[in-house]
Amino acid sequence: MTTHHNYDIYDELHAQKLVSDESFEKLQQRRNNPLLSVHWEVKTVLYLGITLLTGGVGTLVYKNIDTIGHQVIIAFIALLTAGCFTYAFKHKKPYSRSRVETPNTFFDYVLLLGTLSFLILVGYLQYQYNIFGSNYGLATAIPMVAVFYIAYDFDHIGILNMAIANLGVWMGVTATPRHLLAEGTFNSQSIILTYLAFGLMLLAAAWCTQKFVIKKHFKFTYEHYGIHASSVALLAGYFFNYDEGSSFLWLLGALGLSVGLYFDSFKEKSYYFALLSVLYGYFTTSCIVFRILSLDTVGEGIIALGMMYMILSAVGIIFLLTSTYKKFKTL
Amino acid sequence: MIIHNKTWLNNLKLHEQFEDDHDAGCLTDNELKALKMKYMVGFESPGIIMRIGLFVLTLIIVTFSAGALSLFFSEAHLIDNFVWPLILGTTNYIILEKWVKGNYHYGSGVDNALIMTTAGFLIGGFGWMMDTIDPAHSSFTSISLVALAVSVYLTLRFADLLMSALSCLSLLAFVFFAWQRLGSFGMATLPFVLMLVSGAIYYFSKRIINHPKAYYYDHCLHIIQIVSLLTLYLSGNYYVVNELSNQLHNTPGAPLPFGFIFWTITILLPLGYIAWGAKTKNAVMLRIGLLLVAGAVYTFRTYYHVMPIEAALSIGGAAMLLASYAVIKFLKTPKKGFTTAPLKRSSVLNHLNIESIIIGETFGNTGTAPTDAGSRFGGGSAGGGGSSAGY
Repeated sequence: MTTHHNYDIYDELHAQKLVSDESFEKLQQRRNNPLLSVHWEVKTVLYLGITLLTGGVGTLVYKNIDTIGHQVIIAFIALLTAGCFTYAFKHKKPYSRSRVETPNTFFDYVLLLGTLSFLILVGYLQYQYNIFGSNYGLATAIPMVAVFYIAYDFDHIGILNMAIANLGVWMGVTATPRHLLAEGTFNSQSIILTYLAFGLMLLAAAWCTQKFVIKKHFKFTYEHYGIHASSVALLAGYFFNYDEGSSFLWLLGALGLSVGLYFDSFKEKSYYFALLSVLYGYFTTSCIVFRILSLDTVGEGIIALGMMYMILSAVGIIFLLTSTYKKFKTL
Repeated sequence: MIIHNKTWLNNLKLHEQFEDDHDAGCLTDNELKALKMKYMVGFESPGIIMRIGLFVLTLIIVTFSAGALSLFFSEAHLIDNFVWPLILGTTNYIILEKWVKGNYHYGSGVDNALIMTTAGFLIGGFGWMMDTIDPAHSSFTSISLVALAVSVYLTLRFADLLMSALSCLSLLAFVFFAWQRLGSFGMATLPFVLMLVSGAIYYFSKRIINHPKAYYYDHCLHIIQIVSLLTLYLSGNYYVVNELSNQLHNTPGAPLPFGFIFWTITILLPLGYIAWGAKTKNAVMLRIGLLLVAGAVYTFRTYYHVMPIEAALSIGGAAMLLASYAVIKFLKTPKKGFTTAPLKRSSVLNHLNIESIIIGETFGNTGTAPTDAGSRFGGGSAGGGGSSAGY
């Protein structure tokens, strides 16, 4: 309910046929018996509970790895995994290529808990018994495939996010934007290329969801990680090859990607991606402008020119964003 | 007093009500659309993503414009004293007024940024002035008073949320610095005075929110309620009071006299918020209470280590899971005015999959064998070939 909820206005609107009889009835019910939804509170507590529990148990295992106690803990984790998946399979709705609504709120979190404890279990087995040997590719590929399977079969976008991150781990890169900026070390050509391949793969996956109509609602997630990873990789490639002539190729790539995604965002009616592509495109353009300014043809005036560029370009971007926003509204 | 078009503001309030009823499932999509068409709102107030973008861009423009102007006038030594930021602030304010009036911006990000920079220039300029007049004494009392005046004015004029939070905080800062001047008596009673003032602010905002004159300020008052509930807790929290008192008395590490009073407040106040919030169906209080339970636990763990952190995490996590399961079971059919039913909402939160992104961020790098995830990446970054050798 809003602070100044005015139910009286509906009498008039009902008389004008703007509110149907059925809705009017519901509104009267709500007026007499207002309900406060604690949906988000419960979800937050569930989510925090899972974070704490898996974090705590995961640490417990490694701290007690040489004692008798750890077998109890492992048994507990195995039981937890089995329990969660038993519940999940029992309440699962059949697979479909389109969106499957979850049976209930609790289901999503049970599945999340099960997946996390499964990953802890696999990690432990590798650590203790080296079941995959020293083949790290396999050791990371198997959980990744499993997590992708869970994400698709149970239609869980949260777990899809984890799967993408695991794909990144398998390829040797970090996936999430925060980690990209915090620890992404782009100090070799091969890492940059890996990142680029990772990003482009995700963008291709995003495209495939639409083209082959498989879980169309997963597109957002693929594209979200894809844009960040590939744009950051292209820009990193530019800075890494700063002194070589090929550096401009990287910038052109970044610019091309932004332009392409900008027009694609209209098809998807996603303002978020339009904004992202504008911002990455803006950054790329600024790199080009400052590179030209730094060629030292203007001498003293460079600071003033740089400032003028910043002010004018920011104004320009505001106009671009506002006009884009208006176009989205009419879509 | 308020700058915005009142007909549109009234209609905007109706839009909020319609959306709320739509979320609760009482209005259909088509009805919502028709009602919104009937009550036209002409404001430029885009969605949250756009707002953040415009906010950042406006800040860039203001920063670089102020920088360019300062550079231009620095030759003539016009920017060497406190008049310069005050001039900038006034100019900023004039632009803000013109912009909001001319382009009907209300919470568009542009106006929010301009309001913030206006306040920043004016308050900063005043601080500089006080420092020029009397460099020997700190003048926080008068600065916080000016901050209060500026932020209250901007809140009333633009119904800006950030400014309403700032006005609440600057009032508390004023009380803090003024009461400190009373010497040792002031120091000893400071937490209680701050709690009293916070409580008074909360009570006041609660009383005033239904007043017809506060009609356009309900969101501002909600922000003030949130801030005052938080400060009420923080001024009685053992950790905060202890750290602050040790800082002010220069006695690092000393325990707090009459600590049990503050321990009682630290532990019981969040529970009190939850209980009272549930009883009166006050969502703001309930949420703040839930948040502060975490604060209470954290405070407790800072001083007492009853068990190792991982055991505490596991037990706490399991307890939270059980508690929320119990709540879901209990509220399977709505009881006592509460429900766990999701809101039928097409909000940004759902649209952006915020929840799933958070899951990806927090759990993305867990689970895989810890020995290899780290070393693989580390190896890659150090040796260069390490990462690509893996596949």
